[in-house]
Amino acid sequence: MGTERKRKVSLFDVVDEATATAKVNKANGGGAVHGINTTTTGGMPLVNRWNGRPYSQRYYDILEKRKTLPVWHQKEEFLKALKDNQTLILVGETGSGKTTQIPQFVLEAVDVESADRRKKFMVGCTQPRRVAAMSVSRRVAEEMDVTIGEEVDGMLLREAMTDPLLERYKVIILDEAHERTLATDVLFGLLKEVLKNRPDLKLVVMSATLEAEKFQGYFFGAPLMKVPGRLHPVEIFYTQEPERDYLEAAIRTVVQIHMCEPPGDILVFLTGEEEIEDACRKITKEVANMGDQVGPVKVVPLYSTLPPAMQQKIFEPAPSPTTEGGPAGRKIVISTNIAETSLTIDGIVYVIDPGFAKQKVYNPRVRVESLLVSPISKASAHQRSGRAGRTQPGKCFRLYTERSFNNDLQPQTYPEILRSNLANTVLTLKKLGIDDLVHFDFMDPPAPETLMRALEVLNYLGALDDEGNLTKLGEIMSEFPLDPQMGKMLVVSSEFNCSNEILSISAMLSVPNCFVRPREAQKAADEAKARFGHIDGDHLTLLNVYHAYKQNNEDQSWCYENFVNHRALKSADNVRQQLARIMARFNLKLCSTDFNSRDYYINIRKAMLAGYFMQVAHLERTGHYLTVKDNQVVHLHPSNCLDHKPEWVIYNEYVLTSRNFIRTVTDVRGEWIVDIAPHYYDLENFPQCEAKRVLEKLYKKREKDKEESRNRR
Amino acid sequence: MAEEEDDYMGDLSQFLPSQSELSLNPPAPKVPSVNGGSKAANSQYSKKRPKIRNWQEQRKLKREIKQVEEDNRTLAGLESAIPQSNIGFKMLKQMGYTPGSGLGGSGRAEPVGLEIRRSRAGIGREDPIKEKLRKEEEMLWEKRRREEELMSDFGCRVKERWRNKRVVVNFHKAKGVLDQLENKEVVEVEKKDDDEKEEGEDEEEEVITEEDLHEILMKLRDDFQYCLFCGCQYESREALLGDCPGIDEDDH
Repeated sequence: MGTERKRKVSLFDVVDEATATAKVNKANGGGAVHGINTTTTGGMPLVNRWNGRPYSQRYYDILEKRKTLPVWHQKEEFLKALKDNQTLILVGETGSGKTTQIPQFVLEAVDVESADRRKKFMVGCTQPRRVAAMSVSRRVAEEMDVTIGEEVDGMLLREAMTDPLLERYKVIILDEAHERTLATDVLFGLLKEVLKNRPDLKLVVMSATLEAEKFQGYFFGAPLMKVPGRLHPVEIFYTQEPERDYLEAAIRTVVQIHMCEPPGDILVFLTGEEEIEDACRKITKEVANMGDQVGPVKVVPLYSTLPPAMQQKIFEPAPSPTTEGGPAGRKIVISTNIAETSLTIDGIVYVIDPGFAKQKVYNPRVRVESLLVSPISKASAHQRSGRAGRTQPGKCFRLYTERSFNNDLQPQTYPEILRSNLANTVLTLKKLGIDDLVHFDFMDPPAPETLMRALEVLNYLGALDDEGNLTKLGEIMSEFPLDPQMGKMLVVSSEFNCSNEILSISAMLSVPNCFVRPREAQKAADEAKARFGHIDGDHLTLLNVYHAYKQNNEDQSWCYENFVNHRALKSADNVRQQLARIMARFNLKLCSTDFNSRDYYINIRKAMLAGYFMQVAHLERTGHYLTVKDNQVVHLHPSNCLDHKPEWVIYNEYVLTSRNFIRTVTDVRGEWIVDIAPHYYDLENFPQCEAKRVLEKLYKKREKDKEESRNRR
Repeated sequence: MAEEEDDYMGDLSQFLPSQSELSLNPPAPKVPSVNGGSKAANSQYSKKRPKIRNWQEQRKLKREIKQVEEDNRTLAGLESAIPQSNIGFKMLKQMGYTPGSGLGGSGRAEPVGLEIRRSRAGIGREDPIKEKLRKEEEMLWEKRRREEELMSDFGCRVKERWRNKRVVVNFHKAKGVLDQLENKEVVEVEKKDDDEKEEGEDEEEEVITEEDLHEILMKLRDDFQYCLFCGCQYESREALLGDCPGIDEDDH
């Protein structure tokens, strides 16, 4: 889904920016620059040692503010601990200043220590999410009066593929470790190995208080340093009875707070875009109905797919009273769980927590990976309520009973590694030389079946042999920061004479949905989409969109007129270029079938099947689709462009939203299946079902055809 | 308008402060004054809803029920583990995996389960469709259970009535024997009394309980070594204990 795609893209973006803007730590950490700065001890340095320019006034202004942060009081203590230990756990609640200050402390300390001033070194600081990495690096750059690059933790993992001991780095800082993203957890295991082999490398793990002891135990009993946060007390309220409808209850509570409580902004946690937009409309309407007895409100939505300019709105101040001396205005932010940890909004005094979030789930048994609305954990509830106490004492209204809090919420959110498809991770680990997955030191080892599925997929794709060794094909696939199925599709696309087209399709699949469907112009948007539609499948529709975008010179107003998202297409184009570079590196030919040939689309569809033969659904006589081998009932997502119900389809995702949907589907033929993937469609190893009987016939026909052609010869 | 506001105001007051918080911070948080209350609002809401569903709603309900069935099927798929014949299973086993266990000692053996929510019911509250289906099923069970109960109840009552009758009959028999043994001369008179009593059985029935019968049977045994059901007087206490199968009629 959205976030999943976003994650993949962010990897690319970082690669790009890292090479384009160059990280300051690397570029400016070199010998020449070091030479300039020799005046550090005592007094205030007047020249910025990182770029040799005099400090701006702004630098000094910010410096004064920085010094009031709680973490500054422990600067000496931190630097000593860093000097004495290889690994350090730093625990600090939001507001302690750890995220922005620690990287700078580290940089200073390492710089002073650095013996060989000509040798380049780097301090890597990773953030689980791109938005956060961007805003942190922007802030740190501002504080240091320099420009700077950023890093998402998945990126460091890819670096390890070419630099297994991460020798470019002197210190690695893992921020927001408590979030336990998939990449963080894999990095943990990897860094544990690297630390053993590189006594000079230092690791700082930063986390909110939760689970800090667990980190300590995992990292050889590393010392734990606590930084107090700047949190005001937050009163917590519960409902008396479970709510019939949490959205309705949230809206009701917002209106009540606005009417009865003293000034202060409100933050409401909801689960997704649709729900959030719905709530924004309803609240605005409700408040408008109350006339001028109450103050004006500014209702602001916040979710990851919102354009950046819209996201900035959350930082605007609350509206001023409509009449002088009238009731105060209020800002009401309705957000997904992005506002739980990664984004901090000052001025929030009231938090409304319905207790749900969209969370990724993966189940290897039915092979479904989807975002599902699920109850949050106690730890999350705690984080959410803390958001009310950033600027002054606050209140948190939990839309569930205290009994439910105690009995129905699990203590911690499951780390992502327990909720993810690990096919890509296993391929990366294999590439990193980690062959024994059973004994790899995971902080929370994944379920065995999740690894089995990953190994199975990689084996059927030909990336691993039966002994689990990485094949030549697997080596190449691992270089693509994509799901193995897509990697395989790209690698074989030259053989099907359509690698140009497959590149475009892969790029389009790697970015957020490019179709825009505004509420006020749904019909027009649907008509626009239909113009791009290809009756044989959504993948081909995406290809049409990409081609049209290029033919219209990537024009922004063309995008607007045709209801496609310019940003998405631009980043698809960017992704495509990077994928093309990887293709070139492995001498994979870029080619196309003649557009006028009837094989043009057939070749594309065959190449896609060569990657996605494990994601196939068969149309049963009853009229519904069953996924192959798992026999799960699924439906074509209503967004599909097909004009018919094909007997066989490949799909990009299997998601559980309002129904069990397969999304982004393309028609494939049974004959191709038995030709391209007979090893997977091995009937000796196939559950009894309608699809099996159809396949039996297809195999027989194939035998017969072969015989006939032999006889003819 | 004013009414609505009352409800809103009242609603915030329906929130309860955290119990644990309360013990930490003695001054209880101030909440706006009660006025109306959410329950009133809720009941008002439910009153507004029409009882009779039109065909659209019925169709929607049907679809939702179908969805629940489909979800249950999906969830059933989560029960079956990946078989040992699977290549992925074999590959993991080659790496030293012990079937049935988790990894690294602390790892979980089973994948994290999933719950499908298709409504906006709050935490601690059941999905309305599932609740409806569950309640319907429960009602069906309840109905069946009640029928069964009714049937067995009927059987019980028949048995009970028969049993009570036996108690009364046996009691009178025993009483007759006792009287006979105590004073043979009253026999005839007593017999008549007996008959009279039998006629008035219905009113007297409740008076004679199993305990009464037991008491009189024990008296016969203790004082006269007589067992009503053996129909004879034993020579000695030992003979009674040895030869008589038991105190109650059922023992005989």
